[in-house]
Amino acid sequence: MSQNVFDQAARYLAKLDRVPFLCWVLELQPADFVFRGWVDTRRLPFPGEPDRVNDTVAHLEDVAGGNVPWAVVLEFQLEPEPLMFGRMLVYEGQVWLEKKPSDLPGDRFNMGAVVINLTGRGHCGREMDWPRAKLKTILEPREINLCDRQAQTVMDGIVAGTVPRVILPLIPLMQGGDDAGIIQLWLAQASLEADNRRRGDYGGLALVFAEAAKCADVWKTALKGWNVVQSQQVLEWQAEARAEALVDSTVAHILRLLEIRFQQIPADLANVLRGTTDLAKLQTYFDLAVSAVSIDGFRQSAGL
Amino acid sequence: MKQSQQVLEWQAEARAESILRLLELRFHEVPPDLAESLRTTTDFVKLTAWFDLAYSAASIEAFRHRTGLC
Repeated sequence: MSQNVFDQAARYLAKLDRVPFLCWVLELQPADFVFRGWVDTRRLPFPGEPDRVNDTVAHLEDVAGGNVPWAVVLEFQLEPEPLMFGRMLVYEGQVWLEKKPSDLPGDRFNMGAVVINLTGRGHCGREMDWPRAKLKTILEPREINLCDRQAQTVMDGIVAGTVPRVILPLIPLMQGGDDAGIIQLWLAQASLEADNRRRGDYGGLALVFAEAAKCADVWKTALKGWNVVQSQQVLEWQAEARAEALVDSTVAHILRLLEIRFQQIPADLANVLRGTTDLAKLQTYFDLAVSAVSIDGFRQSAGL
Repeated sequence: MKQSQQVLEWQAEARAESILRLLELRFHEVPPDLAESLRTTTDFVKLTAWFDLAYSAASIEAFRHRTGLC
């Protein structure tokens, strides 16, 4: 899969109610910053993952600092990644070089990052200091290890209105996130959401994150009778992921069949097959791979 | 990021369907109990080996015997 469902879910959540979400991760009040938009990073792949673009780089202004523009990278990890320091260093450098807060000459972003570990504890920040040589490099993202957050404390905050409701889907990832009492409280709070679609997203995203936290069964059971429309977004991801799994598997089996039958597959043919995403076509190719008498016969019948 | 368990299940399901299709093309019919056993298998390594067996087995019974899906 080009985009992992946990990554998709986390980035979708960040954008669902962006200002409250940013307030929570940055521990700021809405009056502390101005959200100018998401920086267009489509041409900047995340280092180490050439197929992935981080589309959650927030263009913020620090109000108390005289509206200084900041590009704040929100990066989500299912588990802490040992090379994140270097990757983030490169990525922030790329964003700093390529993206500007305005067209004014010399205008540049201040750079910052938030790394949210969905599971596990990470510390990707580094301070490299050589005092005698007067050399210093510091990269200290704000790092949030959700496994260290107490679900009860966060739920209390949601009840009191000090934590935004958009944080509800992250509860399964927190300590005590699989507790029956917490889940009941979660249901009560999520039910207060007036927007049906948003409520469905909370439920769908909570199930995705519950899977990451290995407590999917208890959440599935709890949400089974919940009176919500299913999250369209989550259903779409599931449909995409399922289709992608079928395509990948069918391609792999066509290649395997051709290999078993004819020993060698020309590289160009293998590449064309790997690049085919139409499942109906692939299923026809599969049948032809069983019946063809030679690689050339297969090519010809398949029109490849 | 690591892959979702659900996605891994879909990949296993897709593998089982490919095996069934291959058996169907070779032997025309797949007994329902065998199809059921294949569809409930989620072990990737087994499914990969069984795909090759589905191609090389001389009959459905030989496939059953070699996979242990009796």
